[in-house]
Amino acid sequence: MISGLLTLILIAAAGTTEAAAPDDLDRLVATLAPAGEPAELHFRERRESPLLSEPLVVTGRLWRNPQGQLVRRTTEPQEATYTLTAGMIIIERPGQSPRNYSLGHVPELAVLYHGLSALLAGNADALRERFEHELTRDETGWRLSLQPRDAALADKVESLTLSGSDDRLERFELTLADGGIIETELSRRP
Amino acid sequence: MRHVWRPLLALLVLGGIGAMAVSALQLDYRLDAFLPAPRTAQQEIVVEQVAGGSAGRLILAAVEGDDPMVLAETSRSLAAAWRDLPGVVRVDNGDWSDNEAIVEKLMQARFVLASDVAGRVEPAAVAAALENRLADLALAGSRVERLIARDPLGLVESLAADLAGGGRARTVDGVWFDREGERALLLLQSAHAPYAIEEQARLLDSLRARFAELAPAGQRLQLAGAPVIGVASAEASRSDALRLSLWGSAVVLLVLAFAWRSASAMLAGAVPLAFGVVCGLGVTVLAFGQVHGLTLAFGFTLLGVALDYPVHLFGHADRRALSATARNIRAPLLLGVASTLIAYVAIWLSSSPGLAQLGAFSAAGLAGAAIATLALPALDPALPRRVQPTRVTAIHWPAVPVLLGLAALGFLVWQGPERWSNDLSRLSPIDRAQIEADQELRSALGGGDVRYLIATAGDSREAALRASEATVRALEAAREQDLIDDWQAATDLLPSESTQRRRLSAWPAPGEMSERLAAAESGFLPGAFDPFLSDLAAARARGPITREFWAGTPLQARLDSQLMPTDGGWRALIQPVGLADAGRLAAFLERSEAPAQLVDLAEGSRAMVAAWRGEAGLSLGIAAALIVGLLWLRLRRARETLAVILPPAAAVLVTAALMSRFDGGLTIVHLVGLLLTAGIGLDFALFSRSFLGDPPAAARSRRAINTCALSTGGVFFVLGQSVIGMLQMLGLTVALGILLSWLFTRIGQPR
Repeated sequence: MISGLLTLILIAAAGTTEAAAPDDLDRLVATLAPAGEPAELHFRERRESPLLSEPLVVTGRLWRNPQGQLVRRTTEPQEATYTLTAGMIIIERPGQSPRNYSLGHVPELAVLYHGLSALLAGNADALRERFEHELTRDETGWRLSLQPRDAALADKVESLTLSGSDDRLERFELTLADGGIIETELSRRP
Repeated sequence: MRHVWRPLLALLVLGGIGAMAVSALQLDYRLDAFLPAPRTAQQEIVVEQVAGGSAGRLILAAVEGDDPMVLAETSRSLAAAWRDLPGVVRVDNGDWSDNEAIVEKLMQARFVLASDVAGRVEPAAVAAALENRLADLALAGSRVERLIARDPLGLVESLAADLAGGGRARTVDGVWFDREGERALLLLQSAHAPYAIEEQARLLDSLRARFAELAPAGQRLQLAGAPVIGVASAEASRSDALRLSLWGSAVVLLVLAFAWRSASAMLAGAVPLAFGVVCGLGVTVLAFGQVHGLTLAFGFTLLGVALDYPVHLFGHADRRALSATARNIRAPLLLGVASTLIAYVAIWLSSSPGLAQLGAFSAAGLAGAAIATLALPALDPALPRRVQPTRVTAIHWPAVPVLLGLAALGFLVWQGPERWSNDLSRLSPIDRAQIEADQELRSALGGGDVRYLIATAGDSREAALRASEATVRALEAAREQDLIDDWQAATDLLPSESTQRRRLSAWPAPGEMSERLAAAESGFLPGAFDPFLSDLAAARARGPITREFWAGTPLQARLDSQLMPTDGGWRALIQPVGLADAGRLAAFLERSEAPAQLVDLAEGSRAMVAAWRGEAGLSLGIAAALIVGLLWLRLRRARETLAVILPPAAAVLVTAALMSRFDGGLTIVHLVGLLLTAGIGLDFALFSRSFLGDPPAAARSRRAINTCALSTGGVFFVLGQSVIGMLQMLGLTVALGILLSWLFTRIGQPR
């Protein structure tokens, strides 16, 4: 009987946290989703590597094309286009014919794809389906931390943390399971 | 009942010896045994390829029925699972990234395999390569760091792409797919010889079992390739042969039961055939050491003539003892046997080992069967119980066979070369539908054009490789003119020693290379590429790689199929890809004085079959002349000789004309069938002619001939229903020939 009571309390507690968060997430997603023409984000990514003297900087643009694919076109260190779909990444580099790979080989991009495309499409449910989330706000802005539910992805990527102020997504940070961190700053203009 | 024991005993003894002999035989199932013996280097290549040197061990696999990315995953896990199976030499799916052994070998060999070393180490090229490595790093992070440190110039990646399919095969997620992107394709090499059917069958079963274990539901596996064809056709021919031999035996039993109505006579009638088989096997083993599987199959059918001998014996039996009958028919029987023997010995002399065995087997078998027939009275069989016929009404219309024979001859002459079929694949004992399925999958894999090969030769391996490199230079020029898209050469894996040395000396020393990498200022730390620099130092110290370098890797098999020792030296092969116009490329190679020869396997095999048939035709022509001479010598009168020759000759011509018109041209198998027809027809004519003056004997002779025509003709008609092309051609030719021989003997002899 005691254990039964305990279970009830726990369920009730779980229910209250679940019930409080979605509203907020829905609101955030609704404010971030671009109205009108598809939004294009300029990004500047920093990535560390023991091979490099200073962090690698990757710049380019990021958008969601009409087919729902996430296109990432880099200008630095090289002009290249990466098209991400649900299961696949298509890589187009100058002087090479396009190659396609399973997104499973690049888990950080898979996490990015699932997180960003749901956000850009304004689909909070898709986010909940794929990730455990935690949304916090303070006076400087908001911060959404996403942890992949998929075991294979969670094995490689610890979290994707997005942050910004008001209706703007300004930054995201991928924390890899091996401790590596990829920081990306986003802006509407170059 | 007492008449049954001796024939039964004789049959059991012979059957036992025959069965023992067959089970102890070293049967040789090589498909090329019936191909002509090659005369030139070009023909050698044709026979090697048709017989399936390495192609004979290749299994093509396609996985379909799911999302491409999921199929790619299946392809990878399938390749890994299959690689562990015994009997698998290599499995390729285009993705070598998880094949440590190959990647390591390529790491070592890249310094001698990569062309244009000077261009690759120029400052601009180094900078561009390092930019690519940064992009790799931006994409895949720490997972590629080790690879980048070891291969900053990306040599292994481009070598692997070239070797794995020349960049022409479509890939999804790094593994081969068909053009539509619907089927994942894999290529597998079996360790078993193409003719080791049972091992191949076991291997195919375990391949399918592994697939069933690991593939998600809904995905389907399709296998093709020579081993698959071999196994399928062996199964098909086994059931086909069983079905046909049951029907054939039923026909013979039925006819003989009706003709003789005596169990003893029927048992005794089988003794000559059994003795013939034992003689044939004995002589073939003595003369050749081993027996080809197909020789056995065809040999049995050629001995069909021997079925007739006891029919003639029993057919001529009258109230006297059987030994008297044997003496009575000895002259025509032996004359017929001697004539047929001449023809079979002519086949024995053929340059094709399979045909030669067939000739030896049949000649020995026939002689044995004839002797056994004449000795049959010793077994004291009962005589057939039928009312003896006494009268015949003879029809003498020799004009019919003469006119039909001339018409057929005229048709064959008018047809010209059309009368021959030069398609070597018709001679293959393989079901043709299987071959088509195989070709479809092969072309889906992009390695489709296996019809052409570019061959170079040399006194030594080095010379052959140098010739191959000179040819590749010519091909590069040909590519500029759109004559060819790409190629796979032996020198992709093993450049000539001089080329390797030249490439090695073009690489800067590690110190200088390090400076060049640093000069690109790409942001990599000093020392980031130390693994690469120590590989470079090791490669310079090691010098050129040899053929043995690839031993134990999946690439060894590929090199072996492209570089092989010949009688007088070495041969290197180049497999062209996307050959637009073979004639123009051949002319181009000649103009550019490339030391190579474009081999058209299809054309080569056609020319060979034609030459081979010419040779067989010539010896059969000589045999025919000898037979006419023998008959004349024996019968002493030109008119008698003509009377005996007319029915079989006309039957052979008309059969040839009909088969050529309705069976898509004559092949060597048709020729063998015509030969058999001639032997049987000659027997008919000889027996019918020998007893013309004695009405009761003539009546018995006619009945014996009717029985022969029905039983032997029936057996071959049944054989003509086979799904195996060769057996079908033979069966129909002989059945038609027997029918015509019987008709012409009946109505076409002069008075």
